[in-house]
Parts: sequence; C-alpha cells; structure tokens
Amino acid sequence: MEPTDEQIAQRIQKGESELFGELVERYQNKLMRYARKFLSDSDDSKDIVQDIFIKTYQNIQSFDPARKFSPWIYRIAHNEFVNALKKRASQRTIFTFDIDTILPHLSANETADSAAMERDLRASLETHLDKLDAKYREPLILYYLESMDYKEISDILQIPVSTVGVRLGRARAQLKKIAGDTII
Amino acid sequence: MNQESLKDIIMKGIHDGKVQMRPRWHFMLLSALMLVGALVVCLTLIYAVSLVVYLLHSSGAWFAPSFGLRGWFAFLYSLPWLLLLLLLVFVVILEILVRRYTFVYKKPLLTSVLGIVAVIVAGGFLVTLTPLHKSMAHFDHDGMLPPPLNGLYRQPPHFQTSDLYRGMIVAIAPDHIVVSNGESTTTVFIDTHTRLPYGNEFTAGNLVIVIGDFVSTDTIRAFGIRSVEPEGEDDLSGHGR
Repeated sequence: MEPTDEQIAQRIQKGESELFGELVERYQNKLMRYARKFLSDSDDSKDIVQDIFIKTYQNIQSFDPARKFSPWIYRIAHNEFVNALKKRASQRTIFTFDIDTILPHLSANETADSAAMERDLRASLETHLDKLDAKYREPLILYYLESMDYKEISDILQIPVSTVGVRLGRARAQLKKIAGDTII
Repeated sequence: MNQESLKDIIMKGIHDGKVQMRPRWHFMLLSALMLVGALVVCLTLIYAVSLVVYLLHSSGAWFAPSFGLRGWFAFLYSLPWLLLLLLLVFVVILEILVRRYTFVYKKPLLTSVLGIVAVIVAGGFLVTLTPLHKSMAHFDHDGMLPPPLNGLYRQPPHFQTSDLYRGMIVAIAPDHIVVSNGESTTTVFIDTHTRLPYGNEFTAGNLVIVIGDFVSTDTIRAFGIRSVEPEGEDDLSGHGR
C-alpha cells in the first residue's frame, strides 16, 4: 500500500529528504495545471511551480502531519500565484479588500450539479476561465479542476466556508454571462 | 523542461545544500512570538478599555447620560477619542495577528472583530472591578509611574473643558450647595429647572456629579445633579474641573 502524502511529509520531517522527490512527482502536474489556469498560461508558470516546491521543502517542518497535506501545499501555491499576479497591473481585483469575507453569509452547502450541467461547465471553463476575475477564477479551478471540497478551498484561500460558496456562485454566474445561456 | 527535470532540479538543489529545510524550532519560535505578540496586544487593549472606563468614572462623565441629551453630549465630548482611535488600531493589529489561525479565518471578519471587541470590553470591565487603577493612581500621585503612564491618572487633559464637575457636598443652602473635589471648592446653584434624576435628598458628605454652566471659575448654574456611590477612600480626587 502506497504511503499517503502526510506519511511521506512526516518521514521527510524526520530526515528522509530523498522522499521529497515523490511529493514532487505527485504534485507537479496538479500544480502546473493550477498555475496555467490561474495565471492564464503565463510563461513563468514553470518557474513559479519550481519556487512552490522549494518553499514547500524549506517550510515542511511547519506542516502538521495530523492535517491534510494537499491544502497545505496548495496554500503555498496560492500565495506564490497571488504574488505573481501582484506584479501584473491588470489583475488588481484579487488584492482589493473583499466585502465577501467581512459579512456573514447563510451557510453555502455543496450542491451536486447534474452530469450535463457539469459537462457544460467544464467545457466552458476550458474556453472562458481566463476572462473571469482572479478571485472568482481560483475557487472554480480548485473545485472543478482540482476536485477540492469547500472546506479544503476555505483552508487554501483562508476565507470562511460560506464565502467559498458565495464566490463559486458568483463565478458560475460570471461564466454564464460570458459564455451566454448555452451553459449552466 | 519536462516533468522529470523539475524533480531533478529540485532534488539536486536539496542534495547540493542550496535548498535547505528550516528547522522546526524556527517555526515554533515564530508561532510563540506571534502568540506572545497577540497576547501583549490583547492585554494592552483590556488595560486601555478599563482605563477609559476608570477615567470616565473619575471625571463623572460616565454618569452624565442620566441627565438626558445634554448629558449624552457631555459624555461623548468627554470620551478620550485619541485613546479610542488607538484602541481601534490595536484591534486591527490583533485581528491581523490572529487571522492565520483556523478558528479565526473560518469566521467572517465582522464576526471575529466583534468577538475580539467583546472579549476586550468584558476583560476591561472585569479589570475595573479590581483595585488596579486605584493603585496606579496612587503610584502616579507619588510620581512613581514610568512614561508613558506618568501623569495619566493625575491630569487627563481631555476632561479640562468638560462642563462636568464631580465632588463631595461640604455645605447645603436653600438655593445652592457647595461641592469640593479636593483641589477646589465650587458653589452649585440649583433652581426649578435643575434636573435631579435621582431625587434631591442631598446631605453633606454625598458624592455628586454636576452638569451645568460655569458662570465663574468657582460657580456653576446646575443643569443637573445626581449623587453617585463612592468608589473608594480616595474617591474625592476626581478629575472634574
């Protein structure tokens, strides 16, 4: 039986540094996809993912093996991507003070989309994702492409779970507006 | 760069020592510093809230709202706004320090800020039940408090222009009473318009709050008078004008 990410991370913490290569193998495709989608196929995606792995290794002693590893490494990735976007003048919206995180919202439960709706949404994501604001693009990527649940997205973005639901709802609405009524 | 090369680059960096793991104590120290920082800010806030309440009690402003709208104006005017602004800044700092914790970021900002405010206000009121500020006022009178606290309990400058006066009745006449705050003695004239929300059964030795117009440096035409409970043996040393 294959060791879990958390078990590997724990062994690295205890000195088995060579096992870090296993984590790189497990996450490089996921993080490259996340980077390409979030940064809209930026040329420096590979460099940023490399930096993510370096920071992951440098900070791995701060990881709590009792918790899940994937939200932890995705949090590092999120911070790196936000820093990359900060350098782009056109992507200011993600850094403005967000009222969604200030006020409480009614609890946003995860809803299962119908298969047809999900298929349409994924198709639309492929073509229109880069037209969305960064703060709405990211939860869509994490939920639909990285198959994270609300709680994991909440841990990665460090926002309330209810805000994740609000952002996903608005992201779908934006996507619908962009793509027309043919989807969702 | 293919997938294998990314792994090779990183592993080579690790083997060559160019990429190094930070030790566990580094993160423990950071966490401890953040926790101590948050605790210091929290205690500072609790102290500041209790100080505001103590100073308002000392000046009599705390009781001013019982005189109606004019009392509310006097109360709002007497609030140490600079200190309250500083409190707000410290609340923001505290929120930033604790925002990294799951139990904080899982809640909306408004909820966590209100939670912080509730904790520091409750803590501040609890501190006012202790003899802390009376002791510190003693130290201050003896010149034993270090900066920036020295003088804070002797001359809170904000209250100097308030139309409130707090002191003990030393004499009673049909149309006026004489009140002393330990530093000055003031004649307080009472007429039919004077508001007496807690009755007019004054006797010498009562501690009273007076709101009114100073017609001279030692004479007030009272808009309202009420007695208050003494808070301690040194209660006469209020900060009213």
